Amino acid sequence: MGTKVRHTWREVIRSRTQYLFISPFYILFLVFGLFPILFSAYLALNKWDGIGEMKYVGFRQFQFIITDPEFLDAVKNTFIIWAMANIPLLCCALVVAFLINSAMVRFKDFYRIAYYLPNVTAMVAVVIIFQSFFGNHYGFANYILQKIGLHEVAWFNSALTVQMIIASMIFWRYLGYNMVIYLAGLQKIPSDLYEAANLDGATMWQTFTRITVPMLRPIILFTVMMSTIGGLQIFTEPQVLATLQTPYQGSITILLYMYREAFKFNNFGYAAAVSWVMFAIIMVVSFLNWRIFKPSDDR
Amino acid sequence: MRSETWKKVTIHLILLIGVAVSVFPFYWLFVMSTNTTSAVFAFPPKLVPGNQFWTNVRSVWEAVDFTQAFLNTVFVAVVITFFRLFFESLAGFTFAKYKFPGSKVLFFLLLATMMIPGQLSLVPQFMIMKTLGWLGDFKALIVPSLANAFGIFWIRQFAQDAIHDDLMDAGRIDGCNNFRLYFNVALPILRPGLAFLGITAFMGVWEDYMWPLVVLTDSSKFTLMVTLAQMKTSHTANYAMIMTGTLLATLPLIVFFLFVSRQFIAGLADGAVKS
Amino acid sequence: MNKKVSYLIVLTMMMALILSACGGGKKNDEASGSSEPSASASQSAPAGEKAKLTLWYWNGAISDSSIEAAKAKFPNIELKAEKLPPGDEYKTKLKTTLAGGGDGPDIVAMDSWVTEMLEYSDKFVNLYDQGASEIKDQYLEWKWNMAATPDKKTLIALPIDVAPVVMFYREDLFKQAGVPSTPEEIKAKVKTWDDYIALAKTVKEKTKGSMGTIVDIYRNVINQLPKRYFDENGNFIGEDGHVKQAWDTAVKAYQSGATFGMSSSSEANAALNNGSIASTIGASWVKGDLIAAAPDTAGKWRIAYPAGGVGNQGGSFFGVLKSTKYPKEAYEVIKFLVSPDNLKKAFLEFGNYPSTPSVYGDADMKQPDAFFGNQAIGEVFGEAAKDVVVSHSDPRDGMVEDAIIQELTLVDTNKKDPEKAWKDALENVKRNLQR
Repeated sequence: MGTKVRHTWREVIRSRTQYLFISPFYILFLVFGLFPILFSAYLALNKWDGIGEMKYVGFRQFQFIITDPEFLDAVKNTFIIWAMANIPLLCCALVVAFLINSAMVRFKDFYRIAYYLPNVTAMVAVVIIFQSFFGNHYGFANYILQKIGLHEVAWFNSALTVQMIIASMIFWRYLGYNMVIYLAGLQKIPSDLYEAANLDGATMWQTFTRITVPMLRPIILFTVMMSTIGGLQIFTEPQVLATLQTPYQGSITILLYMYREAFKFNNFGYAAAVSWVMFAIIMVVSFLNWRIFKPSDDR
Repeated sequence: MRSETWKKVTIHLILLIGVAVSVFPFYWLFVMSTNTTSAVFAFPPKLVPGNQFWTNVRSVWEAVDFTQAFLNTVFVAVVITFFRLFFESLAGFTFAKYKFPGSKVLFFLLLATMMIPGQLSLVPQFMIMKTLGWLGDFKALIVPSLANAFGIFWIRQFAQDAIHDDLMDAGRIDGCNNFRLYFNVALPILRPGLAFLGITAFMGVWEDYMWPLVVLTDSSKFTLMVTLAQMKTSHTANYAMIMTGTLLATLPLIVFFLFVSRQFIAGLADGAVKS
Repeated sequence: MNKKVSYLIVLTMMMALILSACGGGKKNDEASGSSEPSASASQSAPAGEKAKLTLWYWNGAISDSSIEAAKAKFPNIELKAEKLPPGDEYKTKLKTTLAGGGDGPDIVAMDSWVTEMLEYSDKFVNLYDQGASEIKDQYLEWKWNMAATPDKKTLIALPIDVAPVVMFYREDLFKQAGVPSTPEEIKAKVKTWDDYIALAKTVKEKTKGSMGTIVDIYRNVINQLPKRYFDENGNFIGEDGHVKQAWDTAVKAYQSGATFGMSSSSEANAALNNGSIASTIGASWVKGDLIAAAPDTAGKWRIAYPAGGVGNQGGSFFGVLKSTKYPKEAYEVIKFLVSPDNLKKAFLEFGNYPSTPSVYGDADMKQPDAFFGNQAIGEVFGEAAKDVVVSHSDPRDGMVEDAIIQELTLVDTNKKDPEKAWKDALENVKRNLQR
């Protein structure tokens, strides 16, 4: 036992450079990450308007959250928007990356740049632009619908269409981003694999499903994880979109719910409790992702 | 051969539709910022650029101090990007290429921090800034962002495949210490990964909205996004001006991207070839 | 050798980081240490040293030229005016600053939500201690009392403008529809909401020009009432009938078909410009928005006394935070900024109506306004400003109003049954009150 400890200790001392190299992140995290989190855990058990006295209420606020229809609605909205945006997004990104990567396509640089451009646009700007597409009374989307002989749609008058609008912003902005990540992964796949498949007379679809997707699994996991974590934190879109006092129906996400509780109604303690519930949800979903997309051979 | 040509045409056609979808909103933004507000709301909508651009630009400058906001944003973004690239590549490289007591746990912790929604600790973070006396100072923007878990993770993934153990061994034989291994061996190989990360970092700062809004009090220190949002909330009537502001706040980043995209993409390809 | 150099580089970078953190903390300790005693006793700036004052306001709260005038008038004060984003964002920022101890700005502009700040009156300098009673008579009494605690011993802010509510309407469209179209006729014939809804219906049928949205109407009506959602003891009074009355009026207006459909503010702005909106009831500062949003309709708008009475749509205040080092200087600055002459300047520049009745009779307050067909709009505002109703406001008002507006919106957008929507809104409110 004693020798083992001493041995580990010696290892630690020998690795001091490594600790030094990784330390900046951990120092910053302790001060600006962990401390606020602990503070918010304390807040979650208190009722506090941000200015006056705190009042200890135990777990009452958590009880309120999980039975609050508005919160459940926010959870539902978040997942609907996330699915509406990210499932087509990741599929399309993969297909586009695959097409650009295929041997016969020229102007690869052009495509990459063109697809990546939307990601260079700030979300605040994306919301402003997309909002003008989907006016209830005016707007480009209704113009197109009218042109092709369909009826105009009051885009902001139903939860489903509002969610579609938000999903379309996310899709547009992140398609290129994910595509570039996939492309980087695709280029690591040895070309002889493709050549062999070509010699065997495999179709494009077969190459895609038999070689590309399995080889990209770790990277797909990465993008799924990132888009999940990002997707469950949708905030800017509905927040900037709402020009009225309340957000559009169907657009209150978990984070927006929390933000409004904290900064609009000044229920800071309650908002902190919401943040913990949200944290739990993200952990569960991430774990599920991990289980589903886990690379079969752990390296 | 014929079917091959068909396939080519189809692929290009699909890709070009995607390009159109990607690019059209920019065109739309441009059209709207060159027209008057009432033209923007005409039905059917205007689809060709007008001649009101300079009028709109003038109203933007009358409404907000755009030049100052631009300089502020660039300053903050450059400082953060530099430090992030240094700290994150150092840590990412270390995690990828060394085993040391606790390295697995520490890396897992790092991944776990990525799951923590950043905006959740908005209020306590604000209070920290207050206690440190950094409110209204760029320090409040810069210091908490100097290293980021995602960047370390990204570099680690990149370094794991890109830096071969035999290269490390060769470096050690040449008498390199750990820092030289990082600086002379790893860094050149990591460059394509860093280019991508750097651009992401730079853009992240550029686009960040919530945190600068909370900690910056002095309008002379506002970043572009805060300025843009301020314009949007206080001048709803002049929609053409808001669109012009949006265009102007977006354009520098697009130009910057087009300027670095060649190195960025070439770097990505390079990294793929080497590994 | 090399190893040492590399360690040095990393170490210096990290030391710089840590030191900058320590340095910042220390600096703050010193600052807060020295500000502690000054907060209790009102002391003036030492001779030869400029008093630094930071002022927060939003675009349009006060005229920029008044701020310049204040800088010129007080050479020993270094006044830094910071323009912040308006609305909820501003309020949030101020509240967070108060929460954090409040050593941000010295002087802050506040909107009609100043009444919510009374709860935190200990965070503000009591302006009565600075001699504010002397100037009390210059201001509208109801407005002055909004910023005073119920026991009348503490005053946390000085009034800037009042925002009397009036009806803005398109004279040409009203004429075309054959309904009363001069301000006098409207005041005489359109007295109740029923009158107004009937009129708006005719206008809509004849010209396609709507009235405000269902939510606008609800807000108009609730603001005209002497009660809102809570009484002075904090009891919920939303079921007492007056809120339902406002709700029903809004629903009635909606069902008449005369309301404008719910849409984004930019679309509503476009509608003001293209004749889709023929009338709207709003505070005096809507004038500025109207001029900006509807340039193509210049000369066609008029202002009239609103149906159902004037109501209370805010108007702003200047307060001084307790954390200031220079309460005396800060008071002098705000006293100057809200002096009748400076308030008049704001009206002439962008329509904020002063809270000092002494200037209402001035000739330049009655200047004809070209955008409103050379109507002397100051007269209508002045008339409306005297009839304002103030209701008790509560920090939870926002929560209640949000719940109601959310459901009211559904009545328009989803054709939800109004009675069901009302029930759902009440249920939501009651649930939230139980927390």
